[in-house]
Amino acid sequence: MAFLTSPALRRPTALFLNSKRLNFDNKLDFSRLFALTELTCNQVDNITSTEEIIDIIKKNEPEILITKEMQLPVKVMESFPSSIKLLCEAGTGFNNIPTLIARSKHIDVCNIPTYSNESVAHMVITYILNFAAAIFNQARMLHQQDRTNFKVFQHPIYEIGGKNLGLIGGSGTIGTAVVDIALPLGMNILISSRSGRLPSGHKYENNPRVKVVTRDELFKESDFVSINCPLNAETRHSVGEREVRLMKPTSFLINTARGAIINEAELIKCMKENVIAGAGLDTQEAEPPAEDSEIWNLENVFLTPHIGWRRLETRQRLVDMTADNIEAYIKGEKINVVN
Amino acid sequence: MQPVQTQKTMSFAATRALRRPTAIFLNSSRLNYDNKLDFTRLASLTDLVCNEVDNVTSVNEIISLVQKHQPEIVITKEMAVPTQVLEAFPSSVKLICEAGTGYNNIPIKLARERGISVANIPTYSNEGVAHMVITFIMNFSAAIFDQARMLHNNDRSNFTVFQHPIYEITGKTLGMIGGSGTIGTCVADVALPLGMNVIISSRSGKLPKGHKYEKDPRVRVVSFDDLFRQADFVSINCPLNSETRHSVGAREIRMMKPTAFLINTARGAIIHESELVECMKERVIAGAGLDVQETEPPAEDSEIWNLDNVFLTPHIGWRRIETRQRLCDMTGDNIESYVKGDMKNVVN
Repeated sequence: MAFLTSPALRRPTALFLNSKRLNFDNKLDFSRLFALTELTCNQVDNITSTEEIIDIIKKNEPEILITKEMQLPVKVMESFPSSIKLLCEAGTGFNNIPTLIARSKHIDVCNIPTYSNESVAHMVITYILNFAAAIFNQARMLHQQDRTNFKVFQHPIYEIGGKNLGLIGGSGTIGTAVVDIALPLGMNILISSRSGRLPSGHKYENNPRVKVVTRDELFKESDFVSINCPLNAETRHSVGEREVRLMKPTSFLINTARGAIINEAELIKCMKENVIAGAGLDTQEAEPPAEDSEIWNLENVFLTPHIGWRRLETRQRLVDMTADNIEAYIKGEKINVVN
Repeated sequence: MQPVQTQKTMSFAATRALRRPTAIFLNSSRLNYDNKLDFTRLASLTDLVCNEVDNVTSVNEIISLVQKHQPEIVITKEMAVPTQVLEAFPSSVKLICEAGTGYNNIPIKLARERGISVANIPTYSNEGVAHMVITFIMNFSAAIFDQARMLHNNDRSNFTVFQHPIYEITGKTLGMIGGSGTIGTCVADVALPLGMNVIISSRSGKLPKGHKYEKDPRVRVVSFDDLFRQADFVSINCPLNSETRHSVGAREIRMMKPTAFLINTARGAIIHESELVECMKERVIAGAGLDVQETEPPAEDSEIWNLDNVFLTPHIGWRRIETRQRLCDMTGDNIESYVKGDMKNVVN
C-alpha cells in the first residue's frame, strides 16, 4: 500500500543542449534537475551546426530536451528521435523553436513566462540613477586619467525627484516593478497604453503620479524613456528617429526589453547628432552588436550585455523553474506549455 | 483728506520695502561652477557682490575683499575663514551665511564674540545624497564599474561570456552606520522597495521613538560589529565628529563578507583611508564606492585612484543642479529672515 500511494517518480532522460549559456560561471545548482532526470549537460554556449545538434540528440535519445536561446531549425526538429516528448526552453522567449512542428510531432514546448521582473526592472533604475549623476561620463574620464571633475565638475547632473519617467508598455509586470522603485525615488510616471488607461485593478490605477498618455506625449514629456513592451510585429522598430526627435534634448532612452524594438541604425544617427543626452541599452538588435558597429564607440551610449537575466539568483530561478516544469510533466500535469 | 493720508501712511508702513543690506559671496564659483544657478532672489534681497572664484586661500586677499565692500553679510561655501581674517572683519559684518551644512570652516565662537551670527543650511540634500548610495548599490550588484572599465579598454568579452559575478538586490542586506537619521531614512525609502533588508547601527540600540520605520520588520537595529558582519552593502550615513573620525578601518572591513561592498557618501574622514587602501589592495571586500574622501580630491599620487575595486566620485551628493539651487534659495531664506529680524538656522 505504501508503494501504491507514494511511488517514486520515474526519471526520464534529459539533455541540456547548451547548458553553458545559462551556467557560464559554473555557479548554478543543478542538483534538482539531476534528481528529477537522468541529465546530460552539453557544456557549450551554443551549437550552430545542424549536424552536431542532430548527432548529440541521436546519441542521447532523450525524452526531454532543454535549451537556452538556441536556434532549433526545422531540419533538426524533423530528425528528432521519437523519444522526445518535451522541449523545455530555460527562458521566456521561444521564437527559437518551431512550436507548430513540435506540436505535430506530439512534443510539448514549455517556457518560463516570468522569472526576472525585478532583475530587469532594477536595470532600468540603474540606468536612470547613472544618467542623472553622469556616472558613465565620470567612469570614462577616470579611465583616461582625467581627474578634472574633482576640481571643477564638468557634467550636468540632476536630482531624480520630480523627473518624468515614461514607460512604453509600462502597464505590464516589469513596468510595474519599475514603478515600484521610481515612485519612492520621487518620479512621475507616464505610461503609454493602447487602451488609453491602466487595466482595471492595476496596482497603480488610482495613483495620481501615474498617468496614461499617448505614445507621442510620452516621448515629448519624459526625462527618461524606458522600453518595457514585448517584441512583436507591431513593436519591431517602433522606436526610431521620429520618436527620438520628439524627446527633450536633455532626456535619456533606456532599453531593457528587446533590441529590435529600437531601429538601431536610426538611433545611432540620432546619438551622433546628440539629439538626446544619452541611451542605455541592455539589449541590442544583435547581441553582441557587430564588431564594426558604430554603436560601440558613441560616448553618449552605454551598452550592457543583457544583464537583465544574468544575475546569479535569476539564473538559479531559471534552473528551479525548469525543474518545476519537468516535475509537472513527469506527474502528468502540464504547466507553461506554449504550443 | 486725513483718512486717505492715514491710509497711505499705513499702507506704506505695512508694505515698507525690506532694506537691502550689502552682501558678498566670497567664493560663489564653488557653488555656481556651471553658471546655471538663479541668484535673482539673493540679488534682490541684498546688494550682492559675487567673487566668482572657487576658493580664496590668501588671508590678505579675503581681508582686502571684505574691507573693500564693507558688507553686512558674508556668504561662504566650504571656504576656510581663519581667525586672523575674522579678527580683521569691519564692524559692518553682522551675519555669515554658510551656503551648506558643515561650518567647521568658520570660528563660530569668535564670531559670536564679535557680534556676528553664523547661519547654515541644516538639511537640503537628503535625496541627493541618499540616491547616490542607491546608485552605488545598483552599480555594484550589476558590476557596472567593471563593465565600464572593460569597454574603455575595448574589451568586449563580457558580451560573449560574462566575466563578473552579478546579483539580484532583492533579499540582500543593507547596513547603515548612523542610518536612523534623515539621510539614512531616505535611503531606506528606496532600499525597502528594492527588496532589501535594512540593518542600522545606533548607539541607543533602537530606532528613535516615532521613527518612520520603527515598526517595520525589515528594518532592525544591530550592534556596530554585527552590522559589518551581516551586511552585503555597508553605507556610512553618520556625521563626522571626534567619535566617528576614522571609526571605519581595517578592523571593521575585515569583519565584512568578502563579497560585500562599502559605500561612503557622508564624510571622508570617517573612514581610515590608508587602512581602506590596504584592504582593497588585498581584496578583503569586493568593492568600495566613495563619494567623499579624506581630502577632496585625494592627493595626485594617492593609490586610491588606481584600485580597480574602488570607484571615486567628486562629492556628487550636493552637486546636482536642483540641490545647488536649493542651497541658493535657502540661503535667501536665511538672509530674508535675518533682514526681517527673525533669524533662523543660527549655529552660534
